[in-house]
Amino acid sequence: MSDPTQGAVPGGDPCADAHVDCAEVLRHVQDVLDNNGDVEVLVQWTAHLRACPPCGAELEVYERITAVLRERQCCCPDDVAARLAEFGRRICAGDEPVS
Amino acid sequence: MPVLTDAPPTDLVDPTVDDLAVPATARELSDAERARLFEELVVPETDVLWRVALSITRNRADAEDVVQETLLRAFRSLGTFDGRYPRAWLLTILRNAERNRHRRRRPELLSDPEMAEDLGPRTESDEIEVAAEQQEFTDFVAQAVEQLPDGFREVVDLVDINGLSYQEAADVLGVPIGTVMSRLHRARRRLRESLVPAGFGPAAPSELPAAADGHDEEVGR
Ligand SMILES: [Zn+2]
Repeated sequence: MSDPTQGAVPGGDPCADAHVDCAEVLRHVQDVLDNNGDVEVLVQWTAHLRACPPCGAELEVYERITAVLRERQCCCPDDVAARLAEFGRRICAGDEPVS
Repeated sequence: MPVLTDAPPTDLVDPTVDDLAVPATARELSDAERARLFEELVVPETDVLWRVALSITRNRADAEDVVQETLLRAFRSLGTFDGRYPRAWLLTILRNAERNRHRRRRPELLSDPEMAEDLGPRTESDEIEVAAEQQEFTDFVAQAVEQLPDGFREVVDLVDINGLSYQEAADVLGVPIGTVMSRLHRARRRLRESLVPAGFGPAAPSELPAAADGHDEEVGR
């Protein structure tokens, strides 16, 4: 971001900034999603995603998918949790089941 | 009451030892200390273990069996555990427990209807249309996940549904972290692409090449 001449993307891509282009960002959209990788690069990709509607929309699709998935987490049901807790207590009491 | 110490056991710390290889009688831990460590390190992870076991086994009875076996193995191997990263340790034990388990596939249970139990309608307000669309989207994604090959579905289940880190998923699957990442990204990409014909999302930008990765191992079982 300090030197706008470095890594400039030719071709007049409306989304292109000095450092990254759409193809690169789209390739790494899941890395941004997971906050996975080098911080400096992530900052650049994120800036592009904010500024470029098509790329931003792609990230939003992935965010929507993972948000839905996160809601599908289920907890161990109470009856199962109770049985497992009892199982643990028996183990600790030296009452190990034959497995 | 024996004196309890916070110091990790200095004996029996060979990490190569299988978690069942050393008989319980060979441990230096007292019964009370073993029980305390179990309570402190293992019990709090029971819920995660069950969810992970369910992700892997795909049915509740098997998941419970696997967790019980994991608890038992963990209890027996507490003497060789250094106390760090209990979840990673337990996930590795769980993987071994699952692998060694007598495997009976029960196909009729593969799509456990209870897994979809909380997918009922949500609202009767003015936003019913938005809610309905969201519900359809949710149902669609849930179904699309079920249709993924096992190796893909597993990582989505572990990481995106159950919130495990890449490393934790790698521990439980016994694969390198890069494999987890690669499978996850490819799986999500499939989910994303499946939205288009169903009318739930814009077409993926055309300039996006197929995800390149060096972990093109088979993902089905
Ligand atoms: Zn762009």
